[in-house]
Amino acid sequence: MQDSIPELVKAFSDGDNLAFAILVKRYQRKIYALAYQMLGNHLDADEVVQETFVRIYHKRQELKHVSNFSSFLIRVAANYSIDLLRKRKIHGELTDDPSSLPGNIQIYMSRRVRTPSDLYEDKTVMEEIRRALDQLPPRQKITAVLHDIEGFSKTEIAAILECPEATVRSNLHIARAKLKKILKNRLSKE
Amino acid sequence: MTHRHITDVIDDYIDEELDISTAEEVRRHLEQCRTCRAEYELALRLRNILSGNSAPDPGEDYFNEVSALISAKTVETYQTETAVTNLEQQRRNNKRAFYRSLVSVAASLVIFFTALIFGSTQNKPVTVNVLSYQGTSRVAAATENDDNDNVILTPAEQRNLIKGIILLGSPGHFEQCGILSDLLP
Ligand SMILES: [Zn+2]
Repeated sequence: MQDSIPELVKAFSDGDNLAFAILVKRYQRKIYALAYQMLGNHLDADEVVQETFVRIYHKRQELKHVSNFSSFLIRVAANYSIDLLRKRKIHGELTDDPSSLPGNIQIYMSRRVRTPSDLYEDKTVMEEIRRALDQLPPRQKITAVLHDIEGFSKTEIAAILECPEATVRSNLHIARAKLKKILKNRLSKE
Repeated sequence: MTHRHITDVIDDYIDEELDISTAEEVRRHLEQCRTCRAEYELALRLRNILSGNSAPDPGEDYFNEVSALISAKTVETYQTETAVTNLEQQRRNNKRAFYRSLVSVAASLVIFFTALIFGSTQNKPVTVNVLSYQGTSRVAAATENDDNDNVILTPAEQRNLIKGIILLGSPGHFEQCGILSDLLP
């Protein structure tokens, strides 16, 4: 079997379930990272990963007309993350119970508390930025997460969010201005 | 370049999205202007915090488990649903075939008993009333005369017998068959 993404996508949309399994393997980490950044906990990130691929499976006929699978997939994940984020804001946010999490997540959480702070990894500054990020409206937040955390370009984000690049720029500008303000206040106290 | 200009392009400078000459202008400005340099350092620090704020890696076991769960929710569920649908369809077909065979058996029985009645050799004459037709079996008449029980039907009686079978076998339809018209009285 050919391993290129377009060929896997074509095989999958033609009913090849093995191709679907390979696509899941290729993209699940990326979706998990994005969802974790958006929602801030393992359980919600886990839900986004599963639901995204279930939705993709049911949209496999649609994939025949999709030119960029990666953008399409991340759009599904981003939209579901935004929906879940709004739901959590209304019904209360989830917090991970460390004992029920995979071992690596437990190590990650304990590290977040114990790492000695230096200029760029000051845990309290990081936590403040994290909280400020959580305060942003969902569209600004997803734009900042995709660009400044996950490293997508503005053109890619415009394709993912199906909006003009100018909108991506303006959302990013507003999000960064808010975060900088918080960081500035924080640094002036030091 | 004014301070206003540099704050506008500082993020693009960090994103490396400026053309070479503008980027060089910004770099020179930053060397001379403390205010803009402070803005630049703040933006850079924010960027480093954000890019360093990577999500945790839940590990290979977790991702294997998730792949299996996704497969169970999609591929396997879909295959099971298809199998169940096929099985239900097959059951429906079997039921239909059973009812069809029941109808055939019933029809055969009707034909069989009709033939029996018309062809019987009982002692009194058999009168069959089908669509006002009054037929008397010559077989019965022959028995009345104490003739042989195994009298062969005459052509007219055979026609009556066929007519009876057809009338009982397809009520309401026999008139549509032109070939039957000369069988009718
Ligand atoms: Zn300046």
